[in-house]
Amino acid sequence: MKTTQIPQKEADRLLEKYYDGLTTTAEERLLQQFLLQDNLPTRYDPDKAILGYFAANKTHTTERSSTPTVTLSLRQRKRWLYPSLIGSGAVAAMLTFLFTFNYLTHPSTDNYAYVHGEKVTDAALLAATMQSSIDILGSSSEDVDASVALLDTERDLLNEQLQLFY
Amino acid sequence: MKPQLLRTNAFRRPARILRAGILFLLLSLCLPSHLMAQKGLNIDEAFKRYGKAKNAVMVNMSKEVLEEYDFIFFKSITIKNDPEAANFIRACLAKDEKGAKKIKQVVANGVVTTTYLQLAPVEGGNRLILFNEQVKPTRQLVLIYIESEKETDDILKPLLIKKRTN
Repeated sequence: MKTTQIPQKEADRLLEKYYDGLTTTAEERLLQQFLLQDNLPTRYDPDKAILGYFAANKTHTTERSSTPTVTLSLRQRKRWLYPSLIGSGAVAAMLTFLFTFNYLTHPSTDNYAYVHGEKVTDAALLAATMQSSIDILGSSSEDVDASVALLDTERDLLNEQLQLFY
Repeated sequence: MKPQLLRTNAFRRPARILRAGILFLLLSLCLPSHLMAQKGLNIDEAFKRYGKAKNAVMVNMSKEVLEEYDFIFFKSITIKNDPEAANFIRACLAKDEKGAKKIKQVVANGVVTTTYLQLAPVEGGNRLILFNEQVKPTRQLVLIYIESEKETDDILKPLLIKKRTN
């Protein structure tokens, strides 16, 4: 098979096109040939890694060139594998960070009080303030019960008085 | 060859969209659920409006510090000598009580002084709104919002009895 090397500028353009998923077979072959070159600048190392064209695979890829169908299949699988692994790793790392951040910040951001306009986050003070508001409700409940009891007493008294007329 | 590649490229884009979608979904799940539960209520406006006022005490507490009560979320506000705030809260309660179960209501001279509402449960559990306004010895109101996995009776009894046993 005839090999034509492309210049770096053209390789950069094709790499960009490759990451957009727009390259054709011929263009990918050109990229492959370019990345398999020795003495390439180190800035192409990530591309080599992502495209799976490490030196270790070089021989293997060259061997495969005699059977084009298998080569394409394996290459495609590699092309999928590396970005997927990198992407999954990034997502996993981000989620771990978010869950940790959420767990660590949740108690401090969600537990607070404003006492006459001043923010309070001290746990003991918060508990006391909370208890105080519950006590107000509790005492009001007592008042309501007392009023109802008083009403009952008054109703009994009224009934007794009404009985006198019968 | 070409159709095979086109299929590969076409397959890559939905995968990216899917990955982004999953990430977005997981990020949404990281948000505290009770924040969403409370947002839909009209009383939330009362907390926002009067929470930092000089004559008010507002408490906001989450599960981590509510072990004693077995609540998921607790928010309360007590306001002193502010009839306007009381009227505003009563208006909010009138809107929130639509679709809610009225556990207790006390009306004195045509004005609601006590309301206990059981709202439609959310994923986290039961939701209660407790409101009371008392005039003597000082004019003050208390508004409490609670989320708990416990039953309504089990939430209320300890709160209302606590004062009497103290």
